This record gives sequence, structure tokens and C-alpha cells, in this order.
Amino acid sequence: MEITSHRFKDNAAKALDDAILQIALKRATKAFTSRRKTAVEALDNFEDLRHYCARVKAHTLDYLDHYLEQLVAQIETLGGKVHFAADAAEANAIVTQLCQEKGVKTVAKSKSMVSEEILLNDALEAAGVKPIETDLGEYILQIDHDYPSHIIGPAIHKTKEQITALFHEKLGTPADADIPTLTAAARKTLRQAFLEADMGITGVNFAVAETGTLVMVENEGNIRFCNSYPPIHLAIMGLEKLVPRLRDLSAFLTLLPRSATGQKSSSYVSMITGPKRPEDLQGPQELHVLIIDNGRSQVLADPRLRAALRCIRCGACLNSCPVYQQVGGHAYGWVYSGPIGAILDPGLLGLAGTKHLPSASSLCGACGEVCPVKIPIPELLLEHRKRAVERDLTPKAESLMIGAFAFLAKRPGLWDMGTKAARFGAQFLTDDGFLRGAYLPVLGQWLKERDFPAPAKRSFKEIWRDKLKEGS
Amino acid sequence: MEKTAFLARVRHALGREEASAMERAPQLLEPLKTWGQDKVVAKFVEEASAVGTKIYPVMDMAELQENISNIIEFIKAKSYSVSQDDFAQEAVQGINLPLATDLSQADIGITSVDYALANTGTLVITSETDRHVSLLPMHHIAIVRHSQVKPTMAEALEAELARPKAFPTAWVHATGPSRTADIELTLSTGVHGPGFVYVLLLDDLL
Amino acid sequence: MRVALFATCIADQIFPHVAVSTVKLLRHLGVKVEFPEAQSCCGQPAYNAGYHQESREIALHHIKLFTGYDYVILPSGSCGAMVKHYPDLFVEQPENYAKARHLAERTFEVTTFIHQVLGREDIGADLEGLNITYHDSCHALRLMHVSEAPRALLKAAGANILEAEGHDTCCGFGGLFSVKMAEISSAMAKAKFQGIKDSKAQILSSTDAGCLMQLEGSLRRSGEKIEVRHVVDLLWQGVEAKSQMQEV
Repeated sequence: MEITSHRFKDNAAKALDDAILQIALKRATKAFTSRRKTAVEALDNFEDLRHYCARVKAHTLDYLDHYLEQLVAQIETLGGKVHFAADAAEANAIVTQLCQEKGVKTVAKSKSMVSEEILLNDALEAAGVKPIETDLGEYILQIDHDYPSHIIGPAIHKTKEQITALFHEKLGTPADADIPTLTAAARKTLRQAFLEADMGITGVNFAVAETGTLVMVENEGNIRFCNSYPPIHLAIMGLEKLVPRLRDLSAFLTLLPRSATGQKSSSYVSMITGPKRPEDLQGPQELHVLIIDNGRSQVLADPRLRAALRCIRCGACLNSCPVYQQVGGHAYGWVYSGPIGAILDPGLLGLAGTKHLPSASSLCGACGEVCPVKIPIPELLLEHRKRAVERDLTPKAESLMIGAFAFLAKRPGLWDMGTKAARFGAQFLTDDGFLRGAYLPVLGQWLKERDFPAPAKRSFKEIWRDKLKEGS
Repeated sequence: MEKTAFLARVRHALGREEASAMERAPQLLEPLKTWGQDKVVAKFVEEASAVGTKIYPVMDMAELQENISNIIEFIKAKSYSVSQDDFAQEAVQGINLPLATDLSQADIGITSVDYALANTGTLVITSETDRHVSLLPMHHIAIVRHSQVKPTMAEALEAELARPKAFPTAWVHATGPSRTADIELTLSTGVHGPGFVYVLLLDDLL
Repeated sequence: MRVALFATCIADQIFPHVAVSTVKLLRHLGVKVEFPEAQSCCGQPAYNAGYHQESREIALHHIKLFTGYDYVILPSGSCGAMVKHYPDLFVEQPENYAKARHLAERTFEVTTFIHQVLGREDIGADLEGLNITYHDSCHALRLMHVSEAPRALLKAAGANILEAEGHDTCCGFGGLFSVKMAEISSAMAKAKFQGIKDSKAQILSSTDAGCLMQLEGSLRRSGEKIEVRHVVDLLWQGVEAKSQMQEV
């Protein structure tokens, strides 16, 4: 997947014109938001839990050096091997080398955003290893050579009609198969993959520093397969995934599924503490953990942006975002989309290529309201916009316009003259109380889509002086 | 990247060159719940049923075995698999069905659990009991004793951490059947794990 | 009690009747209203676009102008929210920070002022039988916590509040966002139409002129016929209706 964040506007325009995508997006975000709302309202201590989880994550990030050291020491004591990658290239090199060393030919893979971020599948294929995505949504995307558009529902941009046609072509299911039939076909095909895979690769939702426990949250059961059936389990995680204590998990595992899918609990949670021990009957002989930086330490080093690393990838901000609801995840041009993507992508990729993302928001604040770890998303959007101005990344015309506006706004006499002139001019563009003028800058953009009311003949200020002022 | 270099990089990002004095992690939020066991079990039944788990209350081993036989007959299972612990082994005594030689061919998996969580209707199955029998077959029968049901994860963790042994390799929560909503958020069960979960709930607190 | 009106530039230039209704309504409730005439704009367009130096200068002008009043009232949640942001602009200037905070604490959206500060719900208005759906503008709702007051005042006047699905979803205005990303902004407005229509209300109201301009402009372009009115205009209409009735 090529990064196309710099073409956000074109991507978004395409998405708005895609009638099928629009149907799929509306169905999905509506279901997600209403289920989340019900699940959260059923909790009597949602705000306390949010506050707690936000504090725990903030604390962990502030002392991440300490907690990472503790986590790594625990995993190593248990007999796991921990690998470290500064960036995507190094991460991929570590994984492909591990595969070669161990003679791994096929990999059963569960959904992992960080693996999407580093394009792991491409690297594996180039090294002659066959990665098989086993999450149903990811599997759909893999056989269609597509990529995820949502953290939780990777294939929500596809309608069931599209998926039925795809499975008909690739798996030979009937042309009118219903969803249970599609699911059964995927079960059969992917079961074989689990039984044959030489390695299972999973992501990590939480890594517990005090015990070295890796936590994975899912509904399908494919993660349980990946972390227990093949002889080698490789868990891949961003460096920010830590929580200090096992006892912290119950709060996070209460908020995550409710925020993500509106479930009280996901169907499965795996908490994996080291590889198979001599007394264990089942489980992988080897546990490898790959901890990836790939830009995260830059975000960590930025006191304002650090809060973005609290994210537990629930997707609630995407679902609640009225911009995401219109344009979907692909428009953002990278793995992390929606409001969290708009604050995280500039941190991970740099602001120059992603400057449109923080502007792709009406600052409505819905994202901040639903975030289970209280990331101040609207404020961080504003922070990125401010930095874009400071780094001269905004269009010249815009900065000139804002400069002129500010110059007038603090000079009442000139302001009144200027606005009066504008109102006078507008008379000649007025039709039935609304403006014409599609050829004008700024106003033209508005008029492409909507009508604009004509300014009043007399401003309030004039009316006040004439009629309303005491004594007048 | 070497471990030391990686950790140094993180430390540097935090504006430190060496480990600093730590603030304590925020105090844990919830006081543990002290519900009566009747309430705990009733809540478990309610929540487990809500996610599609079928509950069969049983009073003794004989009734338990009878229920297993009934389920086997009902789903027309041809072979089964069972977890290795003594309790599950006892429960399958006298079942009239061949033990699957290959787990991946078994129609039904029968296991004990380590804990159950009332507030979410969850089974906690650790690596001491099982990792695969409860995962591969389409049907999973779990045997839960009343004494194993805890109000929430927090109380189950406390009970486990109080044991004089290492935390288990795998601690798995299983809540209802395997499910997916990846196609238009429409629920579909049995995608990779069991599509049907039965709990035989044995009252051992009489 | 010294009360100043901050008319907001959008009401001043485009919807002066909203500011007129605000003054009349407050006077009707016994509040003496002053209008510092050197006012212009709160600076939100500059601030939200990331131009902090420019917005700081505008904020200083605004702070100076409104010093000395017990309350600053405005017929908008969004411009009020901007004033609430002023302190953030002066974290490195303690003196101005204190002034900014002082002003922020005294700035109120008009219906909230009437409901919470004056403690009035029945304002002597008659809107009996009007079916109104209220759009929660984002900044009013989430930054100024305006939600109950406009509904309570309308209801007390006898209007029926018909909640539309998505009443608290953004209309897509977002200031400069509406022209920088016009297509998305417009799609957001259209996404609200169905909920508004299904509510069966005759009138769509809100406390933010920006949202109303966006929604009215979109509805009109799409040929939809629903009346769009600022909540203050409706309330003042109700007061006039009641006093005419009493004269009869």
C-alpha cells in the first residue's frame, strides 16, 4: 500500500462519489456507534474507568523506558526472545531472517495494524514465505488485493454483495451465498492454514510489564490458533503497548470491547506469558516478540503529542467522526485513519506529507468525547494546524487572507469600513436573498455545494446606533 | 537493533539519559466485589445466556454425565476430545462415543475451566487445563463448578495470584461462541473456534 | 450588573435580526444591555486554521474591549467556545492569561445565561403548538455545555421539541473547513437531512448562526422546504406574540 495522505482531498472526493462505498460506510458506522452507545451507557462507572485508563496510559508513557526494560526482562526470563526494530525495514528484516533460520514456509497471521504499517506481508512474500491472513476481514482483503480501511472492521468498506462475488470467484461458493455460507467457507479454507503453518504471527493489544504477559483481544478465535497451534509464535507490537500491572487489565478489557464493537467482552482474550513450559501440554515451543519503534519515539519525545500514543485502537473515534463517516478510511492514505490517524500520522510520518489530515475536521469534538483513554484529539488537531502554519506549510493565499482579516479585526474603524464595502458589493450579487458568485475565491467554494445568504443591508452595529442604543 | 540501544533511544525520547526516580503507577480503581455466591452464579447464567452460551445446571456427576450424553446425541457427534485434567476425565467416563485420534477431526471438545466470570458470562481456561480442545471442534462443552465463578476478571486474577505458583502460560477468556461481524457488521458464529458452547454448571457448594 | 452583548461578526453582518432579538429578549427580562461598538470577530477562523499569533492579537483586542463587564452574552456557542480558548493563547503571558480566564468565565451563550444565571425558564413567550427540532451545534454542546437551556426555554413557551436522529452530529460547517473541504462539509450537512425530515418538525433551530447558515444553504440548494430559525429569534417572536395577545 502506497502512502497517499498528501492526496487526501482527491481521495476524499473519490470516496464521496463511490455510491457503494457510501452505503457500506453508513451501514457500518451507524451500527458501530449505536452499539457502542448502548454498551457504554450500561456501565455505571464509564467516566471513572476512562479517567483511570487515561492516567495509567499517561503514566506508562512517561516512564516507558522503565516499563519496557521490565517487560523485556520478564519475557526473557520466561524463555521468550525479544527483538527490537528501529523502523519498518529493520522489522521486516528481523522477521524474514527468523523465518529463514527456522525454515518457515507458511505463516498464519492475525490482524495487526503494525504489520500493515511496516508492509510485512510484502516482505514475507519477497522472501519466499507465504503469509495467510486469518481474520475474516483481513482474509477478504488479502484475496482481493485490498487493504484495511478501519482498525476494527478492516473490510467495512465492502458490501456483502461485493464479498459474495469475491468468494464465488476465489473459493467457489454459490453466487448467491449468504453470510453464514461465506463464513463456513472461510473456516474450512483457513483451518487448513492453521494446521499447516510453521509460524503464527499476532499483534498485541496490551503488554504487561510486571509479568511479561502479552494480551490479544478478538472475536473469531484465529488469534488463539495463531498463538497456540504453530510451533513458533511471533508477536509484533509497537513500543507503546504497555501497561504496568496484570491488575490494570480488567479496566482496559472493560473499555476496549465496549468502545470498539459495543460488546461487554470480546469472544476471546488471550493472555500469553512466555512460551510453552515443560509442564504445559500444548502451546508453541518458541515465543518471539518484536518491538517496533518506526516513528513512535519521535511522538514520545513530543510532550504535546505524546498523548496520541495512549491509543488502544478501539476505533470509536473513527465511527463517531462525521468526516470519517463520509469519506472512510482509505481517504486518509495510510493505516491509521479517522481522527486518531489525523493526529498520529503526522507524528509518525512527518507533517509535510500529512498536513491535510489535521484540517480534515470540523473540530466537532465527537472523537474526544468517545475516546476511552481521553486523548485530547481536537486539541491535538489544532496543535498540528498551528505547527503547519509555523513551518510555512499552509497555502500563501490563506496566510495572506488570515493576516488581512486579523489586521482589520483589531482596528474597529477599518473593520467597519471594510465590512460595509463588502455588504455594498454583495448587493450586486444578490438574488432572492442569497448570493451568486461561484467564480469568486472562498465564496465560490461554498457556492459549489450550498446557497449562501446575502449579507444584511445594514449591520447590527448600524441598527444599534440608530434604534437600539439607550437614549437613541 | 540491540536491546540497550533501543532502550536508550526510548529514554532519550523521554528527555533522560539514565533511569529516573519513578512515580508510583496510579492506584487501582475498583475495590473487589464481594457479592454472595448465589448472585455471582445467577449473573453468570444471565450474561452467558445473553451471548449465546447454553447453560445446563446439574447437581452431581451422574447428572453431568447424562447431560453430556444428551448433547452428544442431539448433535449427532461421531467423536470427541477431552482435556487432560482429572475432573473432565471423570466426566467423560461411560460416554458411548469414540475418542478422536486427531483433535482436528473431533466434533466435540469437553473441558474443565479454571474460572468463570459472572459480569461478562466468560469462561477462563488456562494452559493448566487446555488450549486446543476448547478451540478446534465446532462444539465445546465446558464444565463449570459454582465455586469457580467469580464476579469479574479482577476477582479471578486475585484468586490466581494468591496461589503459590507462577501465573499460567496461557490465560484465555472465552465468551460465547466464536463470532465475526466482518461482513457488514452482521453477526455470524463459528468462524474459527466453536460455533456452539454448552456450560454444564455443577453446584458444588451444597 | 453590567452586561455586554457580543453580537458576533456573523450575526452583525449577515443575521442582524438575531442580535436585535437578543437585545430585546434580554431587555424584556430586565437586563440592561450594553454594546461595545469597537467589537469585530472573536478570531476563531484564524485560531482554528492554526494562526495563533494573529488570533492572539484579535483576542487581546476583544479582552480589552470587554473588560469591566460582569457578563458577556452572545447568541452563539461557537464564538463563545473561542473565548474559552483565549487562555490557551496566553500560557506564556501570566497577566494576559489571567484576563483571558476572567473573560472566559464571564462569557455566556444567551439561552444558558437566561436559564442558569437569571434562573428563568418561562420567559413569557408563546410558541404554543410549534414543532421545532433543535440542532446541537458542536461547540455549544461540547465546549459550552449548552443543551438543556434552549430546549427548556422553547418548551416552557409551549413549543414541542421533536428530537431528530443525529441532532448532536456535526452539520459540517466548521468555519474555514466549509470552504477548505467544501465537498466533505456539504456531505456532512446532507447526512443530517433524513433525521431532520423524519422528526416531522416545521422549524429547524439552533443557537449558532454558522450551523444554521450551513444547514439552510444546503437544504435550500437541495430544494428542501423547512424553515430555519435561530433560537433567539423564535423566543423573541414568542414574547411578541404573547404581548400582542395580552393587548387584545
